[in-house]
Parts: sequence; C-alpha cells; structure tokens
Amino acid sequence: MLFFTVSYFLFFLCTLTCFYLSPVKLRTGLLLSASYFFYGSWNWKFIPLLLILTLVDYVAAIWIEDRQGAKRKWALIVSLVSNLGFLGVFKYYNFGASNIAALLGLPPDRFYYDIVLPLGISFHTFQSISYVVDVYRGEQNAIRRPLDYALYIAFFPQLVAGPIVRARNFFHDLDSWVAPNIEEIKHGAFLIVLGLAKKVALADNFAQVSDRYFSAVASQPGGAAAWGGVFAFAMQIYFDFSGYTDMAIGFALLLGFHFPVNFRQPYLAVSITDFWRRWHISLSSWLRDYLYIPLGGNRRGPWMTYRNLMLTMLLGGLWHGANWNFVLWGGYHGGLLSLERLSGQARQRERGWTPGDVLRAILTFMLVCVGWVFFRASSVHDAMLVVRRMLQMPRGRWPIEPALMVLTGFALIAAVSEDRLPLVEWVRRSPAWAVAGCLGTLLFVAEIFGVESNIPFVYFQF
Amino acid sequence: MHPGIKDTLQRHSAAWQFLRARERVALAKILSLALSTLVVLFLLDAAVFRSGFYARYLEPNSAAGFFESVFKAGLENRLKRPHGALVLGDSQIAEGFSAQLADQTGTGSGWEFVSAGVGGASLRNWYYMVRDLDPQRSRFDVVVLPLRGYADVDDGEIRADREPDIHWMIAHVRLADLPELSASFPTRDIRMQVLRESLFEGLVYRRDLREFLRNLPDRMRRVEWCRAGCADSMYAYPGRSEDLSGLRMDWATFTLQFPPHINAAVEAEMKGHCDFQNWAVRGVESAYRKEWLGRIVDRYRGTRTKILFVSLPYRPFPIPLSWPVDSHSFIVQVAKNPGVTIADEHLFEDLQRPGYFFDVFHMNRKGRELFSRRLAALVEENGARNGQ
Repeated sequence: MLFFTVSYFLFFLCTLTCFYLSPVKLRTGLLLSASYFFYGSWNWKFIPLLLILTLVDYVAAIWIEDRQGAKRKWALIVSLVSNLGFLGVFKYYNFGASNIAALLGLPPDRFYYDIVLPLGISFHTFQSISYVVDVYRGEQNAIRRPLDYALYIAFFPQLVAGPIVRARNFFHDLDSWVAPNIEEIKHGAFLIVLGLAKKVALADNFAQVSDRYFSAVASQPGGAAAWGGVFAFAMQIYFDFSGYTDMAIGFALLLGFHFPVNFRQPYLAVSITDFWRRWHISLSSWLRDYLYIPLGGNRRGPWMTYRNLMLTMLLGGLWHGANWNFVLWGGYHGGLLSLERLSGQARQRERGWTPGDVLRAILTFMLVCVGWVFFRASSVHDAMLVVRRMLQMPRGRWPIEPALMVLTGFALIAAVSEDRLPLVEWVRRSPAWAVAGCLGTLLFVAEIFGVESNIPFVYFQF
Repeated sequence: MHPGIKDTLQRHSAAWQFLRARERVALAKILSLALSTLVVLFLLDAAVFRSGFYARYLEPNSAAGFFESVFKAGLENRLKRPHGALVLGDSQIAEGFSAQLADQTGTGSGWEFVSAGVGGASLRNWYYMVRDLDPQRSRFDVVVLPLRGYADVDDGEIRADREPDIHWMIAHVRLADLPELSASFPTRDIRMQVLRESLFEGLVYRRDLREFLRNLPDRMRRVEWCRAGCADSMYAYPGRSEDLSGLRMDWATFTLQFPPHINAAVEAEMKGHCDFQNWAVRGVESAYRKEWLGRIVDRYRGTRTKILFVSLPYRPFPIPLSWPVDSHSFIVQVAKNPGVTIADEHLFEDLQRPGYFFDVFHMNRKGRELFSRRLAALVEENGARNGQ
C-alpha cells in the first residue's frame, strides 16, 4: 500500500473514522492493528520480526530503568545487539559476504543468501535504538504499557520510511492526545496533497529521466546528458523523499500526532554543513545525537572532529544501503564537511539572500549533485564515468522536457519565497474554502502531470 | 448517592461530552475538507476535459483524436443522399472498407456510407460512438455491425476487461454512464481504474496533454490542418498495396509458411494471432457480444434504423475449422429481434486470401475494393427488401 494509491487513502479514511469514533481506551489498539495491517499488506512474514524487536526493546528499557549498575549496561547491549544484529543480517550480510569472498579470491556469490530486506527496518531499528539509549541516559521514562510502545515502533505513517520520531515527542502526543484543531487539519491536509503532488507530478517524471540515463550511462556521452541525468535524480530524490515525508507528517497530524520537520529547502543551503541541517533532518540529528556526539563530537580537537565527521558520514552512507557507492557517498560528504570546518566556510543562511549566498547555494547544489552520482549509479565504475562526463563541456541535448522544468521553476520560486511567505502559515490562516481550492488545484496538477506507472518511494529500499 | 461523587461524575461526564464533541467536530472538518477538495478537483477537471474544450486539440493521429478532429468533423458535410448507412468497426474496417467506393457503387440508388472504423475500437466503444454519432437515433437507415465469424469464439483475449477502451471513448462517456460502464469490466482493479479515469478524465488525457505542451504550435497546426482536410483524405484513402501472396497455413501442424517478402514484424504478429488450436467457445465472448452489441440493437429498437450483421473477412486465408453456433450464441438470439438482419456468414469468405491482405488482420487495396463494393450492394439489397 503506497501512500499515493487509492487503496491507501481508503485505508487511511477507514482508520481515521474508526479512530475518532472509537472509545479512548481502544484507540491505541486500533491504531496498532491498523499499523500491523498496513505493514502486513507489504509482507506479513516480517510482522514477527517487528514483534520480536518491539518486545526486546520494551523489556530492555524497563530493565534499564528498574536496575542499577552493570545490569543496565547489559540490557542496553542486548537491545543494541538485537537491533543492529537484525539490521546487519538482513541488510549487510550479503555485502560483507561478497567482500570477504572477493578478499579470499572466491566468486562473489560464494556465501550469498537470497535475503529479502524487511521494509522500513533501517528506520524502526534506529527509532528503537534512540528510545533505549534515551532511557539509559535517563532522558526518557521506560514505557510500561506494551501497546503504547508497540505503536511507537509500528505507527503506520512513519513505519516504512520515517521520519525517525523521538520517543519523548511521540509519547507526549499519545499521553495528552487532543483532537487537531482546524489550523492543524488544514496544515495536515495541505501536507498530504503537497506531498502527493511532489511525488506524482515531479519525482516520478524526474525518475523517468534519471532512470533512462543511469540505466545506460555508457551509451549517453556528453556533459549535458550527464548533468541532465544527475539533475533529474537530484530532483527525483528530493521530491520523492520530501513528498513522502510531507504525506507522513500530514497523515499523523490528522490523527493528532506531531512529527518533526524532515526537510527545510535543502537545495537552498549555502554550504554542505547547512545542507545537512536541512536534508533528512530526523536522520542527521539522530546521527549527531547517537553517533557523532558519543564519538566525541568536536570536543577533542580539530583532527578528532574530522575523524568523527568522517566516521559519522561513512556510517550514515552505509545506513542507506549495503554498497560501496553509499560508503563513497558518505565519505564524500564527510570530506566536504571536514573541509568546510577546516576552511571556516561552514556557513548557514537563515533569512534573506545576498549575492554571495546565491553563488554559495549554486556551488553547494552542484557539490551535492556530484554526491548523488555515487548514490544513484549502479557501480563505482559508472559513478566515476558520470563524474568525468560532468567535468566535460555540457554539449548535447538537455534531456528534461520544458514543462517539467517550468514546474520545477515554480517549486524553486515557492522555496525561495518561503522565507517571506511561509506557505504552511498561509494555509493555516486561510479560510477552509480557499484551502480546498488550493488543494484541489494542486491535485489537478498532480493528476495531469502524474505518470501512469506506480513508482515506489526511493527511501522504501532503505 | 453522595453529592461529592455525583458532582465528580457529572463534571467528568461534561468533560467527556466536550471531548467527544471536539473529536466529532474534528472528524467532520477533516471529511468536509477532503470532500470539498475532491469537488474542486472534479470541477477543474470537468472545465478542461469534460466540457469538450480539450478534446478539440487532441492529437489527430490518436484514436480518440481521430474520432474527434477527423471523423465527427467530416460527418458534418456528409449524408446528403436519402439513405445513410453507418459501418462500425475497428482498424479492420478502417483499412478494409472504403465509404467512397461504397458510395460510388451506390450512385443513383440514394445510399451514402459512413465508415466508422477506428483503430483499436472495441464493441464497447462502438456503443458509445454510435450514441454520439446518432443521438436522435434517426440519422442512419442501416447500421452495419461486422463480426469475426458468427460463433462466439474466445481466442484468449478477454475483451470485456480491456482497460484501454476508456482511452478510446473518453470523450463519449457521461457521468451517468459511470456505474454501468465500470461494472462492465470483470476485474476489480480494472473496474476501479476505469471508474477513476472516467470520473477524472485528466487521468486519460494527461499523456496527450504532455505531448501537446511539448510542442504546442506544431499540435495546433496539425489539428487545424486535420480539421480542414483529414476527413476528405481519409474518405479518399485507397488502402495499402502490399499483399501476403505465397502465405500458407499448414492446418495439420498449425504452422504458417511465409513467403520471402514478408518482414519479421508481420511474421511475428501473424504467429501470435493464428493459434486457432486454442480457440474455443467458452462463453466469455458470447456474454461480451450480448452486452454491447445487444445495447446497440436495443438502442434502435422501434426506430426506422435497421441493423445488419455481417461476417468480416478477418484472416488472410480460409479457415477450415468451425466453432459451434447454437441457441445460446449471440447471433441466434439477436436474430429474433425485429429490424435485425443477419447476412450469410460465408458471404465474404472468398476474400480471406493472402492476396487481399497486407497483414494478419487487415485487407489491402484489392480486398478493400471488393469488400466495399460487395458490402454496399448488400446494404442496398437489404434496404430495398426493407422498403428503404
């Protein structure tokens, strides 16, 4: 059940109606059942895995809270080993096995097993880890009601591709649940429709261009084709993932839950540091809080800071997929972050634009695009080929059709003007009929620019 | 009851009521916002597509565009003679029947022919096409319905479940049609898709619209050009000159033997459509014919328009196999209706020859000439018998 399908909307409508009309005591169970149904609609065989991890972390957190000394640490270790163990087996076994085989001079598939990656495992394990670590640090109370904890892990709007929600925010909403007011309803509905439009009108169209390019890199020479293919992927991944996140936040908001913002116009960042404060914020803040800072952060001198940055980004890259391309992508960003810190260029832009900001934003976007090559290419060899072509003169035909560039232009204008005219604020303040008009128009754009095939969200593979 | 407990209960009850009311209000607001958004979407879609505004600029080379820009426009200047005959069909009629040749045959007899052969059109499409072409049910004296044989043979394709049908007839579908149209598709997913597409027509038109936006002036030029001259050039279209001479079918092994001049694409297409050993009467095609051809027959019941069923030359060789035609067959049942004539099934069988076809389905110029003249003669003869 993809967020943009009719079957998902029917499922959501049923869940929403039952949720609001059911007695308070039944609501957690109802949302949990709906969440397991949603997860099971993808592959019911992974529900036991989800249940096992839920149970382990639920018990571990209570154990940590109720015990003192070394026992607490052991409970934490058991929880971390379970989460990372499952993640390691399902996501990284074949990657590790093929590399070991290569080192031993054996065929790469010598130790290969056909393992299906459970949907959303990277997200819900990180969410579990943050909860157990927070309990260990004393920043979060252990949840005693098993259904509440199970819902935190399995809540369907964020189960398969985030955003990674911190326990304190989720349980605050759950414990003091209040029906959304009209501003929140308009906000939620707007995010759902905006996300849908981003996905079907923009991301899926860009996906066709980038898929065409990256599926046959060798046969499409020239800088224009390379930049076109990479630009298309940059747009695809942004509109796809931010569209998905917008929808997730919107669905949660209509159910009375508040998810964190996950994207803040990342392609308008004026440095790579700024980019990571705007791109997939729930992951980058997770990496900061549970990896970078525990490694020492920037507290142990510049070289340790660079090391920590590199390690965090390498692991962040590996989190995205078991592939050397992702490691290189992480390393590339780690290197850029270190360079920015070294040169004192780790700038941020908050409001307003100067000509220098514009130039820095363009340069940052181009650097991010170079990184996307490693993220998208099917092999390191292909990635290097594309990067070499991007350095050539951009001759040849630009592969993206004008209508799509016009739509992207509108999206850019909306993003740039967000500082002065925040769309969400406008939606929250406007009368319901105006919001309905705006949403209907957005849906109309999605209807006529949408592509026929159902292309799954990019981040579902992670 | 202790007054304190009573007071607490009342207070809790009031708070509970308040909360419940707030939740119900929230739900009502969510649902009303969702509904009004859908209404806005529907109105926008209707203004651009359902109004017929966009249909005027459809790609003339597409089936729907051909029907809108060429066929309907061309029809405005036709039917000047006392008797009109409409020949419905798909590409087999588009290639195999010439209204011009039929008109020449009927010169002096007062008959004029309209060929409504639209590539890819199905029996379901025919019904909606004929409804648009003849809204008063008085425009034609005869409507010719060509069939691929009178037995209700299932050849593996379930035509009732053909989702692309909606693309052919989107301009003819009205809101009132939606329940029966979507219900006519047996598969649930296709039914839902058709319902969605016929409710929000932009879903069907969007590919054409994107092509349009890609080269706006070129499309406008071609649409204008087509409006001015395509109908006439289609009317004068002579047919294709290639033929399949030398083609043989080995009926013992059901294999085709191709002459050297036939290209690989035609060969592959033929192999895919000549698996006669798998053809059988299973009831699916029968139900489909009864539903959609039955509607056309019902539409003209009690009018002066007669319905004439003919068996079309549909393969480039005679087929020595036969499938049962019994009391359950569509053709036997429809023959009972007044105003319906069934032509001899073998009337055009001699045209099933490699020399009269250019591919597995379509007659070439020679076949087209013969079929058109003979069909015209049949219509006239049938009309004369009916006092027309």
